[in-house]
Amino acid sequence: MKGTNIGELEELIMLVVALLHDDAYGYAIQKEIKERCDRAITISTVHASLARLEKKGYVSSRYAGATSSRGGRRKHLFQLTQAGEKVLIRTKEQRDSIWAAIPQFGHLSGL
Amino acid sequence: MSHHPQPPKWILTCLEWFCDPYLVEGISGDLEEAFLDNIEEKSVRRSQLIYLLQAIGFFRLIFRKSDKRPSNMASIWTNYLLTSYRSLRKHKVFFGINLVGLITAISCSLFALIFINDELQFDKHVTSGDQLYRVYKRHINVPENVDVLTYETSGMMGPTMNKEYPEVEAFTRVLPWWDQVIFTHERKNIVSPSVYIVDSTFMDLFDVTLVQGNPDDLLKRPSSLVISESLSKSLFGHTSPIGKQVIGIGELEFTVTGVFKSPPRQASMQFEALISWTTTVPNLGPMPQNWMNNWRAQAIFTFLKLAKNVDIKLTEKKFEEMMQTHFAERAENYFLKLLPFQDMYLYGDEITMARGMKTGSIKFVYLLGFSAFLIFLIASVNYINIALSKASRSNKEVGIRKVVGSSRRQLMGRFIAETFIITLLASLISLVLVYMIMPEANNVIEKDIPIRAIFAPISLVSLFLFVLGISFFVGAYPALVMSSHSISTILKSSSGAAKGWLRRVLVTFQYAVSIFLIICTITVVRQINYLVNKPLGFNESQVMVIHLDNEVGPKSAVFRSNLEAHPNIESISIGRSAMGGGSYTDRVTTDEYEGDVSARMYGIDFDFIDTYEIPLADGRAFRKGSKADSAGTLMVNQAFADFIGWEDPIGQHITFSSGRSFPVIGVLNDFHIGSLAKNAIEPMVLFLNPRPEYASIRIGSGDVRRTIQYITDSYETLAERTPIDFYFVDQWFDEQYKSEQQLLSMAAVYAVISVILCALGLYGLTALILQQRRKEISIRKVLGASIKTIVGMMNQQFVVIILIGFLLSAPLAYWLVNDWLEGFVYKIDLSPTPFVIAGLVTILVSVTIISALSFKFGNTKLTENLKDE
Repeated sequence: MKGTNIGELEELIMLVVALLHDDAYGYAIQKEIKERCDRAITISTVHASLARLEKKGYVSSRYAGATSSRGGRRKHLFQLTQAGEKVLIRTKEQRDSIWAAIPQFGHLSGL
Repeated sequence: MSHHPQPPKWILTCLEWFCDPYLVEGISGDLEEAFLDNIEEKSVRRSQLIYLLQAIGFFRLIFRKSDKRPSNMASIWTNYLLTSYRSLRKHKVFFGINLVGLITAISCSLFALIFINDELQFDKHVTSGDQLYRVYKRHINVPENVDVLTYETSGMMGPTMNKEYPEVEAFTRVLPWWDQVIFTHERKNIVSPSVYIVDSTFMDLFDVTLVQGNPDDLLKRPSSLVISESLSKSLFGHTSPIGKQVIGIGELEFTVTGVFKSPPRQASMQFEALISWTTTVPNLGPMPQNWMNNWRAQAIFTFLKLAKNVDIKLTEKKFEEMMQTHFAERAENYFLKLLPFQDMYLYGDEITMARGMKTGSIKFVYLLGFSAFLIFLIASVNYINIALSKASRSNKEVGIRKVVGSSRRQLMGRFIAETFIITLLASLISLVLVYMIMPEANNVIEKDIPIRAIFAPISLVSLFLFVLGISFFVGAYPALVMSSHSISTILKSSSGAAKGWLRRVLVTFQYAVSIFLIICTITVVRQINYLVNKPLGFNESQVMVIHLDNEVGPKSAVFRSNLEAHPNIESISIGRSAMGGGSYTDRVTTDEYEGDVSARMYGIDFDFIDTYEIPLADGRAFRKGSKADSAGTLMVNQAFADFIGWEDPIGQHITFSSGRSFPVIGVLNDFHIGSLAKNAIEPMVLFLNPRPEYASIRIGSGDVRRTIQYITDSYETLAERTPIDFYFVDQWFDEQYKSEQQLLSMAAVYAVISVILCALGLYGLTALILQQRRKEISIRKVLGASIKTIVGMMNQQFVVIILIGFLLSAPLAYWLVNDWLEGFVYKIDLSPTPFVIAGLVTILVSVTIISALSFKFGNTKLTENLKDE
């Protein structure tokens, strides 16, 4: 099933969306990725991935209430959909099973 | 917080324009937040730059406005183009007429533009060209009825001007050598057609680029020779020619002192070799020519470099003083004038003796431009007329568009678009056409405009402007008319015909132009025929003239006896003069006439008069063995005798300027020795002078080709290094009318084009009028009108138009043609014939077209025409 596979960056972004939970919007996601993975990506890349994920139905979005920061602009918040969660879990399970099957990595599989 | 630095506003505007409005708020919010974070650590400029870079990333398809469909306007325009295309396809005949008209108009204009632009560029390559002047003079001699402008000056004028007037900064004299010169170096002979003898200042004044040689020692010493790169290559190959010896003019040795780059194509002076003037100075050079270095002889050309901002009129006044002091005997005859060097090419038309240099003609430039403009007008008129007449057919389309809500401007756009398509097509075809006819056209007008001139920026930009100009100006008027009618008028009736009077005025104008051009063409043809066919006073056919130079000249007796052996050679004359060359002017005196007479001097041998078959009027011709003739006798022409007023010329004495006096033994009938366009018959004196410069050979009625071969062969057995240089007398005379022939080919082309365009326009117009009046005509027929009546009715209105056109153009043509004929010495009388022919041709062509169309229409079924409503 080609359509249900997700890219590495998409997976990362979905994880961060889950992590940030109620405050997952473009810039926050970019900052989080930079801090945790030391990986510099542009805001537009984040937005582009989010837009693609939304099309696939793995995330949904809404606008938060008005604020006085950000020049008075509302945050475009994202959260995982059920389908998104499922895809993440399935991806993790697939990886884990492969990890477990590699004998020389056996000592690591319990971590 | 309100004073914190702002990210650039325009970036946001761009984002808002491009991105999905739903996403914009989140995106811009994120960008701004990042920006605010950045300015806490980084400079404002840097933050703004990062903001920009981040923002650029949002210009991807995924963020694009999802409803970005093609705009309404675009679809309207697509529709206009489509309907234009359909309308053009539907009216194939009119489309064809318009296309042919526009192609002709654009091609003519483009060609005229390229030609004119090329002519205007001449002599612009010289850096201080605006300070250079050419001396010419007005030669007035009241008793002899002479008043001409001529470039001929004397060798002392330039140096004296330079010495006595400080504003004359420099001068150079130029003598283009008359014939081709053969340069010989180590048995290699190269013929060079253009050799100038010049002062040492020449190369500096005219910016001649030196390739090899010492710039300080080029043309100062006698026998110095500077040659062009190509001549150097043909004579010396790749070795350096500097210091080498070359045999040139008069079998003399010259030393090559330099090599120059050949003058550019657009230079009026085209020379391949320059010889130092000092070579000709008596007691200094090896080729002393007194007449090149005194005041009296008028044969060389003088150029001056004046200081900046000199008053030319004032300088010319000073030259009058100079003439008074140095050359008083001619001060009342010669008035020296200055012509700016850069005007010489185009504006030197009126000045005679421009030999040795390329010349153009500003008149020809104007004529070509004006003719192209007329063709352009005719084609535009055709276009407007057909478009206006077609308007009735487009009426329904216009009405529907108006009902649907099209504005007037949009409607005009629709019709301009149609013009634009056809004009664009026409100009592309014109470009190809001009490309194809360029070599042929170059031939006719004797130019060498390179093909690449067609694609020069100026041509392409003009072509583009043509397209825009025609679309907006020619296309706009019909568009304006067609879009102006109110909806109800248009939809109600099918004949929202365009204004009739305008159409008539335009057609009248077209006819006026065509008739005008036809009259001019016929007159030019008649005048040229007259010049070519007027008896010259001797038998000019089958006479070959060979220029004998230093090599064959001394062996002329052998040459003569060789030729006499051939059965098809009737007569040979070898002497100083021939038809087409070798004569000169001298001032002679006679007892009966006070003062001196300027006479054309002909040095001939005993056979000259027989060879050319010149009839004798009185007395006798020179006779072999006559003691009197060997002591010195003269013959004159009738014009000489008449000028002096002799009743019995035989036995009268004529004194030459050298002081020697001889009796007249015979009078010849007048005969022409030059172009009938420019030269009246002059008083002429013929004397015996068998100096072998020209051989005139009358060939019999046998095989001419083989006879010429025989003559050439005999010449070549005697000449080692000089190729034969000959011409036929009748051809030489024909060549004198080159500029008239050029004018003729151009006038003819334009007249034919204009008539064809007119006929096409008329065809289209008649067809449309018949369409519009189809109901009227059908009803007339139903009521009993014959086809003859209908054909007559259609013709009637056009005949009136043609008559008005004729009345408008005839006086103008009369005036112009008369003015043109004034320039000829021998000319036809302006008869009514050209006018009658022009009128008849136009009426005949028009009546034929109209009658044919009306007849065909009159025979179609009446019901077809009446049922449609």
